[in-house]
Amino acid sequence: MKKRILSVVLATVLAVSICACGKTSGGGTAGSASNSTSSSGTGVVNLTYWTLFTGDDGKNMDAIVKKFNDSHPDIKVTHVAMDAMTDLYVKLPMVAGNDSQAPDIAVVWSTFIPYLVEKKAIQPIEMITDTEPKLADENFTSSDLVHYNGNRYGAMLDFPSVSMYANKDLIAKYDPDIISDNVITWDEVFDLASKLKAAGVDGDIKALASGAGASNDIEQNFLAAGKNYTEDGKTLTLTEEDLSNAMGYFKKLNDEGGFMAEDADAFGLFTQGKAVLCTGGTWNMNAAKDSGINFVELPPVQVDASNVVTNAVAHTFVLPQRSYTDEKKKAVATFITWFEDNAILWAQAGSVVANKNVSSSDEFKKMPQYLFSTLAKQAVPNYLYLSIAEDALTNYGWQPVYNHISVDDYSKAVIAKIKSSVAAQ
Amino acid sequence: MKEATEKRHFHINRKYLIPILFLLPQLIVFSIFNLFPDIAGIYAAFTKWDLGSTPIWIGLNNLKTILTDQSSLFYWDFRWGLENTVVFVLITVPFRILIPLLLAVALSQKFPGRGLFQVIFYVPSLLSLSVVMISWNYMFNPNYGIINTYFHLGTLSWTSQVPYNWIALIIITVWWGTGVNMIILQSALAGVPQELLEAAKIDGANATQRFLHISLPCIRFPLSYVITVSIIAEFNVWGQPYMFNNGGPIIGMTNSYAHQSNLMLMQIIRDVGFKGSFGSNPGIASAMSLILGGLIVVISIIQVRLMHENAED
Repeated sequence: MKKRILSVVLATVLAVSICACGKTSGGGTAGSASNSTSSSGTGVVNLTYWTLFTGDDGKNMDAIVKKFNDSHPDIKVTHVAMDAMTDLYVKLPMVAGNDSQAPDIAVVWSTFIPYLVEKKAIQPIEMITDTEPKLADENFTSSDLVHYNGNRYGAMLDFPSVSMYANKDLIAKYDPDIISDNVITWDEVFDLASKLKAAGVDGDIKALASGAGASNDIEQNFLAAGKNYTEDGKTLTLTEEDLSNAMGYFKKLNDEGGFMAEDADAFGLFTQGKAVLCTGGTWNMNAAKDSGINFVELPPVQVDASNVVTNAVAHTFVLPQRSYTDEKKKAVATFITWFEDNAILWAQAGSVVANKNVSSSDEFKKMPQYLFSTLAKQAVPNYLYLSIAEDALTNYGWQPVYNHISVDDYSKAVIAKIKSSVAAQ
Repeated sequence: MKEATEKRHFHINRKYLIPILFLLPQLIVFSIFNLFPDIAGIYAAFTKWDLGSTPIWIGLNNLKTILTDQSSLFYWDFRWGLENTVVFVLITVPFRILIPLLLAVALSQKFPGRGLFQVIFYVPSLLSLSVVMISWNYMFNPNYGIINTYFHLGTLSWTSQVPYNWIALIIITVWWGTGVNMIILQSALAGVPQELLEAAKIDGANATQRFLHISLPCIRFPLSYVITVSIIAEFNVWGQPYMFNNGGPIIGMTNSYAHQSNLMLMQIIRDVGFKGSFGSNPGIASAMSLILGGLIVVISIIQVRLMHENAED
């Protein structure tokens, strides 16, 4: 009898303990957003904050959030970083309207605002910004990016932009004039490739490596040529010819021996002094600094030196679709305002901040990204189906450059993939 | 009389109570992580859904699209993905059986360092997919990889040149999966009655004859299990090609759609279903999964039947 009782107890404990495994310990997981306004009557307002900063920028964000929490004992912000495409943009619509699951604040790309609005995943931010003069539109660069259908949905954070890192030592050695105006055109890159060839080093040192990846670099080329995915935000107007032209520059450079080898680690080549120029982004600044290389951050390669643009999106604070008590609204406003006031901390990771007070400060002017940010105009690929389009570009990568497919077939495949995927929505 | 019947019922219930309680944890876990998701997945295959909204029932439309609509990208994705996967299964599975079998036979002999070799062959199967793929990606890198350097292959690209992309994927998969199969077969070989082997030896049978006519028939059940499990595992392949070359080089075009050499069906299902935001189409992905699942079930049933027929012979 005793054995039987023991068996029953053991089985029950096992069942209960396994069921308990499914519970989260609270805080720090995407599925356990806090809905409590204050915790255990201590007067502390808990805020759950979802972002897409999963890399080095995430560590920087953690440090800033900690600083905020330390200086605001009445508010506790819990930062949860997650992958943008596979987590954040999927989960925000799924938890919308559910106060126990939805976060209190999130950071998204401005290009995803139309999508999130249509999915009823976010709500206008005016209830926060209207009470805080520091968060008024006029205090931010390109604040129009966070407006949609007549409403304001975001408070701008920064512009993660495609840029280009140039090795100053190699430039001084092989082509000193190329950065005289801090703008490098495709003609100059082709010229640099021929100079490397003439010096007999083209086997070891490449003119250009793509650290930003095919999707960003191809987009950069057609944006620089004045093209975009769409004119009305929804209908694809980019043509196969536009795409072929954008890819053609890289193909030509590779044919002339100036582009990185297939499967190469682009940023690794740059930091080892095996690439004179390397496309990248503002997010690569810390890695470039840590490598110890003598570099300058410039706008990406331009089609036309008189129209310098950079492929950029904007990170923006948004309010997920959920209810907010007055206490919570106040805490959210306090957090965003404090963050904007201290945006210089965020700029230290290489970001081009949107807050005009900070971007015009002396401290920001001393930062490496300042030169780049003053030279290039931000061109934003504002397309409702941007994730589909960028996925198609990423999927086929540099295949035409390395002759696995013709440039024209590549363009046909990309456009067909975008159109077919959009049609299935 | 009534009282006696009630008492009997009570005893029957108590008799089953303990086993049921022991089964309960596994049943709960199975229901949460297998049964309910499977039912939801089958339902989703007949709906139009984008993860964020309520699924809309559309009957057989998804299946019709992926099986018959040649103007749709999903038709070509499914067709090419299945073709690539079948090729992968046909090439990989024989290696995943033969190499572990040979190693198991070798390790069932007694020789110094046997334990060390056993560990060396088994350890790869303990590694996670990410660790395996990052390591092999470094080794196959044309610019600084040890393989091109050691064999003087220059800048040969293992990720984008046919057939090298296939060779690399098969090497990685077989290396990773050998250990588990080897251990199963090794323990099966250890169970072969020694008296049979010794009797055959006395009768003049050589080592090959003893293996083919005694050991192999004795281990047919674990061998069939290993074959079935390997086929199922390889039909579900996606991590290796995804992390190695993200689908590989384009090898053809039809209706402006590109056919990628190593784009496997599971990767397509994952991309179509869970890419995130716009572009997610879990209805179509579930329909593809349903067909793939059905195919695996059919193959497994055939395999089990063959196993039973052999047992009856």
